[in-house]
Amino acid sequence: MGSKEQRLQERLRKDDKQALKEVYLTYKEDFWAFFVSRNIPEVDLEDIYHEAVVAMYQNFVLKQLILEKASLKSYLIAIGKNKVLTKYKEEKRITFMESVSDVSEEVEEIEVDLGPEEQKLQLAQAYQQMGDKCRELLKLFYYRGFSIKEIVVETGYKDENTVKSYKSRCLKKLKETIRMYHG
Amino acid sequence: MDREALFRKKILGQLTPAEESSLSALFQGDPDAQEEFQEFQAVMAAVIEGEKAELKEFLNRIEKEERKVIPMRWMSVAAGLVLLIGLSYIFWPKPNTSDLYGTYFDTYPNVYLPITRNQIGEDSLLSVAFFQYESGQFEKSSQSFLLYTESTDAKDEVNFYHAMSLMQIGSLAQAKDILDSIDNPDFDYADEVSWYRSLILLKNEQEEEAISALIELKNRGSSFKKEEIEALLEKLVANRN
Repeated sequence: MGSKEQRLQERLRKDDKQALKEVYLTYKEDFWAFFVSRNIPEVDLEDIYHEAVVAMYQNFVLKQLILEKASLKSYLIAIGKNKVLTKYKEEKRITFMESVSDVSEEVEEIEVDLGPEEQKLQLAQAYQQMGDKCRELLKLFYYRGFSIKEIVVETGYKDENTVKSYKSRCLKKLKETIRMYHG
Repeated sequence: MDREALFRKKILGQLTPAEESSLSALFQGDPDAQEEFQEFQAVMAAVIEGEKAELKEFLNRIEKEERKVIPMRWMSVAAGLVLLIGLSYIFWPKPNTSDLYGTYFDTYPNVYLPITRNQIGEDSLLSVAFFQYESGQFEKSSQSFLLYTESTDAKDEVNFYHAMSLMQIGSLAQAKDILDSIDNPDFDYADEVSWYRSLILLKNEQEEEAISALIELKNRGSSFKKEEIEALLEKLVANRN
């Protein structure tokens, strides 16, 4: 694997949106070509590609993924295959499943058990309704896995206690919103 | 490792066997730990799902930008093509108008003095000239018409065929002089004269004069070469632009 791709992976792990854009634009054509040649309808491909790119990106950020053997392109395509298999399995479109399942490459995807789709949507909305500062803090802690100490270094908070107390306030707000959704 | 770090790794499926044991021990030893874990999981789910939604919006924006950029790229390609066509139009050699002469010039049939063997006799020189003309011996017919017209006050029709013979052998200047002299709207062959004069003008690359002559001919309502007049005019006007 070239050093350019290694640097790109490093940027993805650091939640670099510009790197995400680069990946998105660089591999779109190859991704398209792979699935179109396997008779996946083009009308479905944009959604599948978006989902695959987001899943790839979140794997890098959340799990600090390091691809040692596979390239970003083959990793993206492998995620795409999983998405296609899931999608057409749900829709019972066996033809498309067979056309994609010929490649045995496996991808370990992050599938956090977050409950039903409706609940996921509500959680997403609750998070998005929060102020920027709270979102940034929760994101660093829960999403990027920073410790309280690392958050102090990363952000402009005075000390660990300030971070802890601010985090508690943010969590309280979020839980209230979630509880509101759950009744 | 603190319990929140363990929770996070559990959710992401990254626990080592040792950490898995630690977490089990925690759940067994602390009755509140399970509830804390569930709360942690809910918050993490909210962050992951919220970020996922934002990432999808981000990708949609990239896609929209690209859709704007691609037509712009195509527009620039199209603009380049337009420029190229424009430049080639300016610098590419225009179709030579004199070539149009070859396209449109044809032999005017002998309708004035159709030749039969019996007719050769009286006015024999004229008959010979038309015979030669009819049989495609234009060099000879030119000489014969010349001799005839020099010796006689020839009718315009004869002069016309003399001019036709000269055009056939490429003596266009002489042919034009004759046509100019008989270019008279009252003449029975007036349309024919104007048509062949226009062709000579074209051959001489006098496009504007040719266009004027053809327009006049068209406006006159010539039934002779009506379609050819329009087609030729169209080409000449397009070429002029």
